[in-house]
Amino acid sequence: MGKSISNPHEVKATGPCPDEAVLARYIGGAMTPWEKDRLEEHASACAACLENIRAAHTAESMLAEGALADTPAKLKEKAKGLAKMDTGKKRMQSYIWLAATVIAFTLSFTAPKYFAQFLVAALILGLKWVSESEGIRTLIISMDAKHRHEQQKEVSSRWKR
Amino acid sequence: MDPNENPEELVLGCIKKDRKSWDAFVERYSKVVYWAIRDRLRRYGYDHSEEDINDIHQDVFVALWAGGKLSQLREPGKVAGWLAMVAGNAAIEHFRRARRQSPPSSVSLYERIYKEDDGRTLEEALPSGAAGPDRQAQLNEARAELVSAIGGLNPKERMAARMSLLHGMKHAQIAAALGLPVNTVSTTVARAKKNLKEKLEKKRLL
Repeated sequence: MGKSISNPHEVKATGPCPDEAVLARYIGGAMTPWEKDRLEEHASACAACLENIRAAHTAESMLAEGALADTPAKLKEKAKGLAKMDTGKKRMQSYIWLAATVIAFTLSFTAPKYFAQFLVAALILGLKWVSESEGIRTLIISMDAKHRHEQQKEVSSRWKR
Repeated sequence: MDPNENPEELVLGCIKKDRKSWDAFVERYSKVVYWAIRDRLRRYGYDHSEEDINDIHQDVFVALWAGGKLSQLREPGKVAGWLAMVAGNAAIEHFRRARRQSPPSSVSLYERIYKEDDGRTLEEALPSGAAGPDRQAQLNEARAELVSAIGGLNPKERMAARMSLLHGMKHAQIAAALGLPVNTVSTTVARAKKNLKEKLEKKRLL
């Protein structure tokens, strides 16, 4: 159950809040009476949850009425493009360039005669690694999302009997 | 996969990494995500750019496709509502992570949404002489009065009163959200508002 806060009308969660999946079950009428009572007790004092419920209902009705403006085409294409990215292959390529960079850098010290040559090679390979890693932001976001997904699982389990 | 198929199958196709399902999913629901991000940032008073919206939009779809977020959904029939919540929360998270702006703390939705009978928001209706800390004290007092005004209601009625007075939802929308008759919602909200008005007047806040 949510802890009370000094000012419940500020846009803050009373925490720990149910996640979106739990709130969607409430909106979809899929909760047991016990779960429903518990959620209502929390949401009746939580501006963040009520704001989520408001957004969900508004979105459902606006979509049904065809009242939502379309997204700019470039944004949709970018989102669709995620499925086309073979992230595993890209990641492997990126690792190969990174490994080559580390090897060249190490060799520059172990073979002092060719120090400058290996150092330049390490620099070039390093730049190649950076240029091949254009999906790195996406990978970081997806790993972060996976991490948060695990955390949310823990929170939602608290909302189940 | 047929893009017109039902949401359950579409979501399942995306979880199974079916590209056609994903294209259809993005085509159908991108507008929900786009709307929800803008809506949340506007309502919470964040100073944002189109670039912020684009970044958050992409972050949401990355979380759905690569982050396994879609597998959390237990109510595929409410995928639009669920997505609106996910996108709205992602918008807040975007600013929290970037540490660019904190959520608004001095002026809440309450002051901007609660309307007096003459159409003035509570913030406009409060005595305007006070400024700085005094003004903040006034606002805090008004918020505390609301808690007190709806204190005698049961949780569902409190939700109804807050959804109307704090979140600006229409009575029909609240009724649908809470599974209550519209008349019950209207009566509850009217009672809460009358009670609140009396309390604010008694404290000379109106």
